[in-house]
Amino acid sequence: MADKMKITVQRYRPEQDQGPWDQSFEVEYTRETSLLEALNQIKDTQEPTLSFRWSCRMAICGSCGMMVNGVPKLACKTFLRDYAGQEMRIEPLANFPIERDLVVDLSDFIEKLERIKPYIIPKKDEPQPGEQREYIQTPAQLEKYRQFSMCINCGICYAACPQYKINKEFLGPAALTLIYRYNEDSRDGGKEERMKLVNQDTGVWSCSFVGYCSECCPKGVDPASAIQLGKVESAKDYLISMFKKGE
Amino acid sequence: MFRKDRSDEPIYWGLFGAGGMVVAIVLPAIIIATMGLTHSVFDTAMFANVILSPVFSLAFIGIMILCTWHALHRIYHTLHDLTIHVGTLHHIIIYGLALLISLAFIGCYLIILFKNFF
Amino acid sequence: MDLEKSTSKPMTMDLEKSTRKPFVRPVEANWWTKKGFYLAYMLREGTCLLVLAFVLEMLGLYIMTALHISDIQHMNQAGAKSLVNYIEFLGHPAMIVFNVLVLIAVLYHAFTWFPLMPKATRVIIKDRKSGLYKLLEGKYLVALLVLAFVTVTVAGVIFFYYPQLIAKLLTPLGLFEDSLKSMFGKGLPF
Repeated sequence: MADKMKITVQRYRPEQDQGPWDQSFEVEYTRETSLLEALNQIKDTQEPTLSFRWSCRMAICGSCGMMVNGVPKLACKTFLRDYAGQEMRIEPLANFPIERDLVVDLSDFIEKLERIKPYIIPKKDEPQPGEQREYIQTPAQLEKYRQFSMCINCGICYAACPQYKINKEFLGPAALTLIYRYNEDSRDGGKEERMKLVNQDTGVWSCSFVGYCSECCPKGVDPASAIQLGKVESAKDYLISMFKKGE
Repeated sequence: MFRKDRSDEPIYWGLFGAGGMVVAIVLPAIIIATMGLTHSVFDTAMFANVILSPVFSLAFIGIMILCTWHALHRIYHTLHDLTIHVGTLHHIIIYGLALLISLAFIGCYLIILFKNFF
Repeated sequence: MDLEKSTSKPMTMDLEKSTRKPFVRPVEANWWTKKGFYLAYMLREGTCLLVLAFVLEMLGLYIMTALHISDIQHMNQAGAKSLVNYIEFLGHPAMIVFNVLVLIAVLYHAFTWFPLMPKATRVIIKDRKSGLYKLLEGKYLVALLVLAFVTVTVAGVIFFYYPQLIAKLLTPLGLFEDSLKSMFGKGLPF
């Protein structure tokens, strides 16, 4: 037996709308219906112009982030059964400019990801990229950053973060988490470079530990923890710089 | 705040963190004690004896100064949370006030310490 | 240079044909009232106002003490009138109510502070599987902090409200008698 759910979607069509407006739909759902399936059902049978991003349907591509009743979630990981007896209100991911309907402009987030160099930078005395090299890492060394490497860059933590809402210069949860992830990697030699970004007012120090990013993260990455650990690293770096000449 | 390449937050954050720990662990006992100052067996004379002890007095002002920096650091960041743009002026006023309160405690401590010895 | 320009253009698309008009949602100053989680956060931050007020209350007490230090030393109650007045003021019902509010705020701070602490610590000493480092991580750290809080609070209450108890416990053992005596003046108050 299929139940019915009222889903209200915030629409925005840049070529004709001045601002966002709401459109409601009724969808039938079963125990297994995800929000992403429901949206596809709406697009296929009711409103073909509805726009939203999606790809993998299994919480790994990070494309389908959106606000569900005010909470940032992955549509593929959100099930209608959990909202039985309620209504659902879907909005585009908060804190990003709305491009169209549920599609947001993530370019600020992507630019920040690029800026932090989220890849292994070889240590100076070690062979550089292109040279034959085997990187050996023990399970204990892996454990130091493993949790923080689970990020799928969905942008949900940015939608959850009030500090990013207020100040778009803030590097933000995912970028700072990835900085910590690479800095803690035993194979990496780029810490000094990345710490310059961490140490700024727009780095870890814009975070006031609201903690909602960790609450919302669909992959259990706990960005808030990575940022606090980053603060400890930055504070150490600050103390060292006080005793170093020429800084 | 005053430097472009590096934030000075580690200083304030360090004081804030230490203060937060003190507020959480020690302050409740002090508040409960204060509420009973007039009623408990711990009367004015005894209060004076404790406050005259250089060690106790130093611990007391240490706790109070950390609480001050903790509270004012939070106020500073809460202004930002309320979308008030915090600039150099806010910074000087808020942390200046923290410094002023700290100096008041230290001043009183020195008076008590010296009067105690001479 | 020309090549660079021509390759960068398709990236931003032809602006004349584009209907792009990104809608930026405004930031409201009352964003924190819209969600329970944010409200709890703002309350947590708000506790600092009462902490500051209590610090000023204590500063008043400390200034009074410093001003009348000679009188206090000689137990000259008349001279120490303003200190006595201040302590009586602290015993006023309104001030008791205020202090209860401060206590509630501080307890709220404490029980939002402890659970967040493990997120800021990571103790990895050689092998994660062994050692006492576990006591400084996760729920063990929270338990340790709560234990510290309980110990200090209970010890503080006994010290201020039932100093006799400390004397009864410690005097037969001959422990700390001297330091207790020096702390409470000429004679122990019990």
